[in-house]
Amino acid sequence: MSVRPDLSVQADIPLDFSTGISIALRPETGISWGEIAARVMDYWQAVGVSNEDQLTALTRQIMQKLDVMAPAPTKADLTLLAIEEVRRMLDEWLAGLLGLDRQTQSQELAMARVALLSGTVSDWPAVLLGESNPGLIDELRKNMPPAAPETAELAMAAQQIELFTRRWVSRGRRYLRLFRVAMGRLLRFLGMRR
Amino acid sequence: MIKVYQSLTVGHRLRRWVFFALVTLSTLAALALLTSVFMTDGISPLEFIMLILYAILFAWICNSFWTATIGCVVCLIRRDHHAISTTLLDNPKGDLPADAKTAVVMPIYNEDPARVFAGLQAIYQSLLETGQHEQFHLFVLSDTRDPDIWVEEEMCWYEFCREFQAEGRVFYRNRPENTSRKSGNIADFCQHWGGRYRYMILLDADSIMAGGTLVEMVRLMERNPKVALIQVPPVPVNKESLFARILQFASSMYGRMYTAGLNFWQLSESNYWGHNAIIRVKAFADHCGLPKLPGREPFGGEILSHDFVEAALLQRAGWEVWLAYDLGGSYEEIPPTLIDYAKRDRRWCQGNLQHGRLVMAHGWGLVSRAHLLMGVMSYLASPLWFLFLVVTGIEAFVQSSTKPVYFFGERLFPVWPVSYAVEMTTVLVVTLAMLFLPKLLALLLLLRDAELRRSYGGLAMASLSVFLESVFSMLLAPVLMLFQTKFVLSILFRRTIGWPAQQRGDHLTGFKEAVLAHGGQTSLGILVGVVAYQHVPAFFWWFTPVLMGLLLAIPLSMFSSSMVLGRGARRLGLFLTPEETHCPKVLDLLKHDLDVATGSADSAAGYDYFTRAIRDPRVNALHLALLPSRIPSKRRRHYLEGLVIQLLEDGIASLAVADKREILSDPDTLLRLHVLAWSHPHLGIFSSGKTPN
Repeated sequence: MSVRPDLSVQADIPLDFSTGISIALRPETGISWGEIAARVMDYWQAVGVSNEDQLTALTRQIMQKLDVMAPAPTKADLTLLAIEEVRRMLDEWLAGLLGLDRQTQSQELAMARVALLSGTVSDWPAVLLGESNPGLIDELRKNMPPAAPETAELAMAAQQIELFTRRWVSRGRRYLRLFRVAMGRLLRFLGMRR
Repeated sequence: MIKVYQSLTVGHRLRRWVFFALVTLSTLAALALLTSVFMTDGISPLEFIMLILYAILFAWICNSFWTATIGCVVCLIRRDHHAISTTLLDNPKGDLPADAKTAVVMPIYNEDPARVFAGLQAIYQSLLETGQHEQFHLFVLSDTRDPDIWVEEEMCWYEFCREFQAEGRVFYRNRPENTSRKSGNIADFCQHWGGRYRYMILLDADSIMAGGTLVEMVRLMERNPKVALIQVPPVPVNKESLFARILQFASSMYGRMYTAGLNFWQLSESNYWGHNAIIRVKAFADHCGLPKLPGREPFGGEILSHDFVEAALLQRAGWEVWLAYDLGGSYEEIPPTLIDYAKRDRRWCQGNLQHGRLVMAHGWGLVSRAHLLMGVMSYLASPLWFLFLVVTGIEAFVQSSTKPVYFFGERLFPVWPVSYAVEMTTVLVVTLAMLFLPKLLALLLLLRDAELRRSYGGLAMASLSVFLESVFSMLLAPVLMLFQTKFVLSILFRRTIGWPAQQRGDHLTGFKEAVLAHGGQTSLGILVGVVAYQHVPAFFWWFTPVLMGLLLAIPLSMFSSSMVLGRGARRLGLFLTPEETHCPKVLDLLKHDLDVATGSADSAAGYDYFTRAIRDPRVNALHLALLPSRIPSKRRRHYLEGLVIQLLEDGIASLAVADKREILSDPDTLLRLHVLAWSHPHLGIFSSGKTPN
């Protein structure tokens, strides 16, 4: 069940935007800040934030960022931006925590997200909100199995299998060629051909 | 090309001479007997064809008979000086060397992920118990194309790693393109990670191997540096339908003899069966890259049945290939019903017939050629038997319509036709003995070993099981003969047989399915029976065993698929195998892991796995983490854009399986859909992605 803390600060700012993203959506009109906040909360819950206070604090952070980001009125889809902002916030935090590069180590970062969402990493939202937990990095790394080891390549060239038919056809051709040469020489020797 | 043939000892050579001499002499003797019958009034063209067919088929039967008989002797003596396992007798069982790294490799293709990973978990747990697990890595090499199964495999892999703290020991990858099927999948492994491992142990999706056996296999390889491959024969287990239990019983009861017999004459030039085998990776990479055969399918193109060819290639390069028939701890599962068994045969048939082109290829050893030929014969035997029966029927008709002539020319006294009943009966009895004697030999082995006898439910129940299994095999033989004849003909005429994928789990064959599969066979049986009874009544009675199998094909197929009958037979003590009587630990672990997997099947979300990969943040992140990064071309980006629009406008149901895979293969598209799913739940994109309950 989704927990709905009081977000009246944001919820009473009614703003309606149409979706104008590159995909031809059938936009629902009448999206309010309250609805956006509810979606953001749903997403935070989906990624494993269950504590009511943490949920409110994290959602508020996103909404504040969104308020700064979105010049009103605009055609940008605010809900879409909000969800992307949650993802960005998580990724930036994880990248900083684990020393990963967001551009070149996107797979490791995704695996870190998996570890975070696996339900075994203790109270990570508190760390995201500023508390310290020295054991968190180890906990995360423990839940980040590598999909494959470092590559150690071996060459594996296709072998040659000389089929019986091919072998005899090529032999036959060779004998025919030899026969022709021999016949030519014989004819030349006999003076029947120049 | 390197050509270093193994130096065979005198003992090795003698064994082969003995075996082939026995096969040849028995065939010649039977052929002489039959020829003497036909010679009385000259050999007609039909009789000549019969003689040729009989010679081929009898040689084929003799091969099995002498393999089993010699194997029986080996098992009775309980000693085989040339078995590869004897090389470990004086070897202390210490830790494996640190550099003997081994990859346990399981290539999979659209298999049930729960079963695949339960099996791997059981193997891993068994390995942990040996204390040698540090030397092993497990690889799941997925060629799965089904998007839902793909995502489920990833989830199973992650859970496996977490549950057993197997990070860095169990790996998973899904190949973007499944080029060259299974052999391409393994080649891809060798090319990417082969340099890390000295050995790899190949498993099938339903293979189970005990940890102790895996360790012993590595020890054997370490002890024998000239050996490139050791095959451990898998014993069929775990199925509960009557059909599967009878087959499991037969395989367990007679299999030991056959494999001991095979090892007797094959020795260092044994064969590779495609799984449950250990391979020296460097040798495999150096010599087993498979070429494409010239020409089109079915005989050209990719080599479908790669195992025999890989064994031949290794032997051509001077490496030894052995069959460790006495190692134990190697299991597999078999198709649960007759129809599934036939479907598997259809897949194997084309690959084996393709070997016909390779038998005479340049550079193979004689035994490699024999392996390839035996592979061809295992499917070609059926159409040859069919042809033999047809020719025999025509010959019987011709004989019955020919009136005997007693008086020739001006002779006063009649010339009575000579009776060859004794010779003909002898031919028949000898043929039947060749077929059924190995079953009695298997019972003889039980007499020797009290513990073994108990594991088969005692001598009385084992004998009854052998009798019932023989009756079942007799009824089944003509049905399989017609199936295989149809497969061979369809391949020769380049016709495809549209059959759905084989089901591995136990399930009941329905009436409709049975009629569709066996209706033609039963109709043919009725037709042949009526014609034979009307025109050649004497032949009809000889022919009844074949006709009976065809007439009963539908009920036989349906009833034998029954798990109730299978379990009932087990309660009665019928068709018991040692694995059922005293379940090996690794099979117990498998059952436990399967129960856990079934119990915890995560259906709470109510969505299919494709939808979960888009919607569920954890599943989505896992899939992205395992997805190889590819920069899509402009054309591909447009194509993916089109798929996204299709998904948004028409829902998931509008997407084909290949479209779903395309979406899952592109990280950007997947991320975009994930964000859309959470920001626009009202779009109802996933309304049709619910799993029906």
